[in-house]
Amino acid sequence: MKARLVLVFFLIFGLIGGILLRAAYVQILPNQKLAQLQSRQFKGVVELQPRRGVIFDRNGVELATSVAAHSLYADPHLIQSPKAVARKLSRRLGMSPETIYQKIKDPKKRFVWLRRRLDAEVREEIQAWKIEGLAFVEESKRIYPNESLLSSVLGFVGHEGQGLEGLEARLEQPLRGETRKIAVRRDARGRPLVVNGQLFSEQPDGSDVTLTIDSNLQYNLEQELLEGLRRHRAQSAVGIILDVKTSEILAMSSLPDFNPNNPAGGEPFEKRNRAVTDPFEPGSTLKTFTLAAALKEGTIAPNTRIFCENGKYKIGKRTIGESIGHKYGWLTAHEILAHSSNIGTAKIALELGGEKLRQTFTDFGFGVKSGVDTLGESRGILPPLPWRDHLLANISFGHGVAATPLQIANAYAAIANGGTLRKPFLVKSIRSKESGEEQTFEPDEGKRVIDSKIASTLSLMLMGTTGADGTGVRARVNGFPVAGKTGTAQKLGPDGRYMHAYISSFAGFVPANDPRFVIYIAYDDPREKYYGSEVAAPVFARVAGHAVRESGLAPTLINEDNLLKRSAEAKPLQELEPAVRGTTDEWKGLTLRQALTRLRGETVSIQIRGRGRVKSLSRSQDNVVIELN
Amino acid sequence: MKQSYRPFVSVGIIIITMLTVVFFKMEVTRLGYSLLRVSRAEKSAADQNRLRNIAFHRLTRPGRIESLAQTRLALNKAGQGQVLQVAGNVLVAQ
Repeated sequence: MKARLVLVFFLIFGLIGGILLRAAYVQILPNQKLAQLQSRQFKGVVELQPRRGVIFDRNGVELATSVAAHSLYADPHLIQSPKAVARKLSRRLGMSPETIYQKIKDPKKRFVWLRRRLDAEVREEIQAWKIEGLAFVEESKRIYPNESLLSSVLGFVGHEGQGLEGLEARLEQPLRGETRKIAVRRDARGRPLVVNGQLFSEQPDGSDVTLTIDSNLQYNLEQELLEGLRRHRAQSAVGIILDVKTSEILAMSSLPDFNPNNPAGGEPFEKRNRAVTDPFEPGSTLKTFTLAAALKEGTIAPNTRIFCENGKYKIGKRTIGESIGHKYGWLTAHEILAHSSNIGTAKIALELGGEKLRQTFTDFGFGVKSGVDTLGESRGILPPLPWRDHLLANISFGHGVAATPLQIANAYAAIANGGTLRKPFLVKSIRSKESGEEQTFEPDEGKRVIDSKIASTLSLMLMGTTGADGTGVRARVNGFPVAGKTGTAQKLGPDGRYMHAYISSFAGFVPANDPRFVIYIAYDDPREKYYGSEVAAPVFARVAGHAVRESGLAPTLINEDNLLKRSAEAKPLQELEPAVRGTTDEWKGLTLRQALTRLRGETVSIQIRGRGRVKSLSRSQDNVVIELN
Repeated sequence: MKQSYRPFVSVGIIIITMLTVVFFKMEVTRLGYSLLRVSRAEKSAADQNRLRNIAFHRLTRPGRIESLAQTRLALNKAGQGQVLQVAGNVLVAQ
């Protein structure tokens, strides 16, 4: 018995020992062939695809974001019946069977894209068919939820998800992220074995970018520009809103624009951020800086009187005139700006000299790139010295030079903030998803270009432009003082001669007593009316009015003109009748507008149900429910 | 303990130890699979969340709200001076 027991023991022990020895031989002793086999069977690489970072506005609204999408490819070598597959796929992919067949008919090919970035349900349906030779790759799809909002600034991405235009291209590196390849061990079924958690800790996604843009201001700017574009049948329009103190770009628009969700649908012209790429003659908006130079050099004071030659001023063989129908005699420097006198400005510039004028223009950022964080910024055109008298006169009132809308707006910001020119910027912060670190961009210290006293004097002079007899009277905003300057510049044709086409603009800031927003509006080639005072100034007023209301600024100009007349429908709160005003019958049949007008002044929460006219109105203590039918 | 059983006990302990090690290794692998499954579910949920977020932003974009206000609620855009807010006082409207 004992002998048998020992025999069984040694038998089992021998078997186990043999297995262990074999395992030790395989595992421990070096064996290149086995190592290669093992590596081929168990090791694999997992590719972590990055997702492009999100672009937010300053309030956290998503302007551009990415979602997972699935791209379908085929291995024609493995497809058994290409014609049948093509027919089946065509219904779901929205492509003709012939197009698909042409792609998959050649069995020598091993890879061909059939459709990029499909929705999840399409992928699930095609996967359920289990057709050999068809497979999916996960990619990222860029989505712009607000469609064309800010499109010329944001730009768009290409088929491979790379930024091709605008901020998408400018911030390609931080937004893109990077594809990471992680070596992992796989099991017999090819599933990755999670060993050290690296699969989860690696974060290949691109960084999120927060812009200085306020999407509400942006939307309003675009809507007002668009309305003006239609009304004046202009070719294009540009608008900018800057924060006076920091030169942060709060809104920037170039119309017509495009839908970045379908960039192929837009013209190349529409895809440019023309507020920074396209310079044009600024016209009279540049007079402000001629006067700034003269005030800085002390050649004039605001009340210096200058004879404006009754509308015709000869310089050499050429004659300078005022805008049509205007003839001025003696004007103060203040009035020259308010009435936008070409002759007065030219005389100020001639006394000042080209060198000093050019230096001041350069100080205000004309002829140099502002350094804004967008692609393709133009430096504009500021001709080199010497300037002959006629050229000097022309340049003094904004002809013979070219500036981008951003340069003009930023130069006005320098006056509005007390004389400091700062670099305008669009990107507020970039946050890495991997490290969580946030890189914040602060406004630069800037460069003092004029004394604060001169800046204040200029601001007061610019307020004269929106005075009763100023050119910018239509730029007034009820309740808020506005400082600004109109501009009407004749366009140059391809032959270098002036055409009968104009750029109408208005640059200004609001509230003039404590500036918050610099706004620049320009229309290219408006029809019928073309003066900046008629075309751009009213749009400025609406954009500025919205901006100050949106920011909650209290008006500072309270007078009979800008307070609305009290009417029977707009009683002050204390005169309103108590709680229930009218029975349900009295409300019945009213339009919603009439009902809301009757409720005006009451502190109640209003719920509106249905559509049409008022059917009934019920109210509890603080709630009113209006039923419509 | 009888001396004759000692080798069996020793071998038994070795085997149990080895099986325990194998068990824990398999448990790690099993948990790895669970983790992978959960991470895929989490990714899918995050994708869903992102899609809903986009839908939310599409639905609440200013253009749509404005259009709804004008077409369904018969509201007009506030013009210049229609809203003039004086701090600490009444809201006067046209």
